[in-house]
Formats: sequence, C-alpha cells, structure tokens
Amino acid sequence: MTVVLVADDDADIRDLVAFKLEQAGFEVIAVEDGHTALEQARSNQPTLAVLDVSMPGLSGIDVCRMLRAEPATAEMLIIMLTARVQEQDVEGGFSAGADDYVTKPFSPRELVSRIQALLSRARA
Amino acid sequence: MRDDGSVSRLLSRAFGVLVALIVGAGLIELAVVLVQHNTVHQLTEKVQPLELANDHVADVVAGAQWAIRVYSVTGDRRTLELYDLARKGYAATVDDLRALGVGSDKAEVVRQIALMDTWWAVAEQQRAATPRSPEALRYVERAQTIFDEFSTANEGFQIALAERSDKLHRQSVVLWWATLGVASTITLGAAAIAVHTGVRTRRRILEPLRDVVEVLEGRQAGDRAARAPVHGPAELRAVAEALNAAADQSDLVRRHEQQVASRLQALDHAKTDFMSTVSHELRTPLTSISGYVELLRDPEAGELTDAQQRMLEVISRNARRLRDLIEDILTLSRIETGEFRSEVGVVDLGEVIERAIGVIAPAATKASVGLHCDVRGPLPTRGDGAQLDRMLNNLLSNAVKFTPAEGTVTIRAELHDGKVALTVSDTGMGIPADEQQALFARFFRATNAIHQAVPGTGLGLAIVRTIIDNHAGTIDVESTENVGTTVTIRLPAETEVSAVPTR
Repeated sequence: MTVVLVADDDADIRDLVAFKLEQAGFEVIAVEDGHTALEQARSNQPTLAVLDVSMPGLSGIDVCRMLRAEPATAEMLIIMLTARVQEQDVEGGFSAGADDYVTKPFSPRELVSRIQALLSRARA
Repeated sequence: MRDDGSVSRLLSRAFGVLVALIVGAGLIELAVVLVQHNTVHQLTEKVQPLELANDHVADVVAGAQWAIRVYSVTGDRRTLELYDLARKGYAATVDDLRALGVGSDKAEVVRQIALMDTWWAVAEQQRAATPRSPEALRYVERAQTIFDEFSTANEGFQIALAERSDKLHRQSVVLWWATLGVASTITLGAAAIAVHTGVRTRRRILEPLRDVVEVLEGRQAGDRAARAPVHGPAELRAVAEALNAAADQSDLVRRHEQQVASRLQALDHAKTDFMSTVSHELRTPLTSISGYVELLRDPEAGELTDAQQRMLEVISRNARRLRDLIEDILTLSRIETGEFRSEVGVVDLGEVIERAIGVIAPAATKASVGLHCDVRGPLPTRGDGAQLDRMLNNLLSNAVKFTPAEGTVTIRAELHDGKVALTVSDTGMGIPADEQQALFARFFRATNAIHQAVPGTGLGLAIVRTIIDNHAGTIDVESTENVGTTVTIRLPAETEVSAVPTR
C-alpha cells in the first residue's frame, strides 16, 4: 500500500485530506508540524508527502528542502499546500524541490487526482 | 559692501550734499554780487563824481586865472566879465567838491579849497588893482604862484582818483573772473558728486536686490536650500530676511507635508498588508468548509435527503462567493501596491481580447449568450499583460453574467485618435440611472442585480478602474435599464509601430 505523509497544522484540513486519501486507498500518516513531518519522513519513508507551506516552527518549504538534501528521502514525491498564490511563493516552493503545489481553497477530489497523476508519472 | 544705512538715508545723504553745494554756490554768487555792487557804487557814486568835480573846479579856476591875468595885463573889460562869470560858477562847483570830499579825501579837498580860497583872495585884489599898473603886475605874479601850486595839487589829486578808479575797475574784472571760476568749479563738483552718488546708490541697492531675485528664481527652479544674503541698506535687508523666513516656513510646511504623506503611505501599506493577510488566513477555513461539503455530497458519505442536498447547495454557493470575494480583495490590494504585475511592455490588445474570449466562451455558451467580436488590429498599447488580461476577463464576465439567455455581447476594438478604443456592449439588465455614479465604488452592487440574485462581489469594476488608472486610460459607461450597457475604454496607443510584436 502506498504510504502518504500529510503535514498541516490545521486539524480540520489534516483530517479532510487524510480521510479523502484513505478513502482513495492510501495509507496515511498525519502530522501537525514540520519537525514531526521530518521525523516521520525519515523513519517511515513514505512515497509521497503533502506539506502545508505555513506551519509554525519548520515551514513546509524548510521540510521540503531538508528532505531533498538527505539521500534517503531525496527522491520522495512532494506536493505543497499553499494559501498564497503570489509567484514568489510558488517559485519558492519549486526552488525548494516540490513536485507540485495546490492552492487553498482546494477541492479534496482535485488533490487526490493530482496525487494519483504524480504517482503514475513517477512509476512510468 | 557695508551693512549700515538705509535707502532713505543713502538718498537723503546724497541729496543733502547736492543741496549744500547748490546753496554754497548761491551764497558765493550773492556775496560776489554784493561786492560788485559795492565796487560799482564806489565808482559811479564817489570816485567818478569826485574826479568830475575836481576836474570841474580846476577848469573853473583855470578859466578865472586866465581871464583875470589877461585883464590885469591888457585891461580888457570883456575878460573881466568872464572872470566874474567863473567866480559866480565857482560857488556851485566848490560845493560839489566839498560834498564829495569825505573820508580819506577830505584832507586833500580841504587843502585844495584852502589854496583856491587863497588864490581867489589874491585874484580879487588883482581885480581891484588898475590894469597894467605895477601893483597889478605884482598880483599877477603872486596869483600865478598860488595857481601853480593849486594846479599841481589838483592834478596830483586827479591822478590819484584816476588810479583809484582803475583799481576798482580791475578789482571788479578780477572778481568777475574769479566768480566765474568758482561757480563753474562748484557746478562741476556738484555734477560729479551727483553722478558718483547715483552710481554708488544704484549699486548698493541693486546688488542686494539682484541677490533676492536670484534666490527667488532658484527656489522656483526647485533649489530648496537657496537663501538670500542679508546685506545692503536696511529696507533690502528686511526684504532678504522676510524672504528667508518665508523660505524656512515653506520648507517646514513641506517637511511636515512629507511626513504626513509618508505616514499616510505607511498607513495605506499597513491596510493593504492587513487585507492581504486576512484573505490568506481566510483561505484555510474556507478550504475546510468547501472540502467537507464536498465530502458530504459524495455518495460514499451516505444518502442525503433532497432538503439536505438543497442546504448543502446553499453552503457551497456561499463558500464560492466567499472565495471570490477573497480573491477580488486580494487582487485589488495587489494591484494597488504594485505587487500584481507582470513585465510591462508593448501589448497587442487584440491578443488580450482573444484570450479573454477564450476564457469566457464556455460560460457564454452555457448561458446561451451570443458573443460578437469586431477587432481591427493591431492595437498596440504599453502595459502590463497580466493586468490587462484581468481587466478584459472582468469586463466580459460582467457582460455575460448580466445578459439573459438569447442576448448578445459585442466586443469592438480599433485605433482611434492615438488611442486604443475598446467597447463591450451587452443587451443585459443595465444599471439604474441613479446608481451609475457609484459604479466603480468597492462592493457596489446594482439593486436590480441583487434582486435578481446575480452573483458577484462588487469588486470587479473597482479592479477594472484601478487597472485603467495604472495605464493612464479612461473608462465610460452608458447604460439603460433593461436595454443594455456599453462600457468604453480608451488606452494610449503605442506609437512605435515597429515595437508591435508580430503575430
């Protein structure tokens, strides 16, 4: 079963995403901050991580950069969740190494299709 | 340049000197005239009459001497008549002489009269003596001696008087020339002083004035530090001081204005930042609302009643409305702060229209609204492509949104009078006439649109207006309720045709 890491400080969003992903057949690890996200990513080696950009402590972009820097997690697929649509935020996400980004407010269905698209592209 | 004195003191000093010189010249002339008058008086009233009287007396006595001598020698009685005539006339002439012989002349006159008296006494005795008698001849001898003495004295006096007359005359001539010299010197001196004072005064007034004018011109040209040097006469120092005070005051006001402006700017920035932050913060809860609504409406979450479906529809619609509002607020604040911008360059408005039609076409088809397009390109204008895209999208989505099924939206664009002119006309519900002036106000929504529950944020046209202002363009709206609305936009055309990108 494909393991997906979901990191968001907002519990409702975290539950929403986790629920939808589990419904779609993924095994979900849900965490509420950047440090835990980093730990879980290192120990559980998920195939894909959904990271909220603005989290207290380590931001999603920080976590993304650190995962890319470690050989064990460098290949992990990463999707950023952002409330900001400004170009510099999106660019910041991509330069940190994200594979895709989704802007809030997003539809859970859309998020799942993005994840599936990313996974099938990675497998191909 | 000295700092003392004032213009009035300067001028009065100069005029004082001139008046003093003129009065001095006048006084000298007056004195000379008096002296001249005195000289002439001496000459005509004293010396010359005295000369005349002296001469006259000499003539009379000489005539008498000749007559009595001839009588004594010849005994001719006719000469005796001449003698008597002279004797009679003598009294008047000697009175004249005595009257004129005053002062220093008196002694000489008295001596002469004494001599004449002596002579007349001898002459009388000679007259009484028988002519040609030895007695008579003796008297002739004596009279001749006295007459000679008189004659010598008389001539000496006559010479002295003539010399005095000459001297007075010479004195008068010398005085006349001296007066002429002094008067012309004073006049020339006065003229020179007047010229000198004029030039000096002019310079002392003009130099500070020129400085003041220079400072005024400098300040007009934007030199805020320009201050007038305080020098010259008191009045001009006062002008320079007043000018400097006004400059200080104006600088102070300017600094104050700048402070207020920067405070306002900071405030405006804070407001925009706040709006931006709020819209960002609203996105997360909005995601939860619309996300969970989506989960609920998913058949996998379980069957819902029709009523529940309708309720979820309301929540969903309002979540979408909230999302649109947040987006529009954010867009507006980003356009205002200049954050919302792509590269500024030459943009063909025809391409922008084409893109916008591509975006709106599905919605128009869905609403059965016909889209007509008449673009006579190329339409080069200078601007921000992303902002112009946004402007066109807002205009077209408004037109389609407010037009009922089977209506049409017409887009026309052409170059006209150095402007790119764009009109978007619809056959929609229009805007009530009394609401049209509020059209561009934020959150304004026409009452007919609200009644007919047409969705909208009330920010679309405010965004359009801000973008047009950014591009130095104009926007005009003509609308008749239930007939339609025509929006006309004019943007400055880019004149460099070569800069138009080839399509």
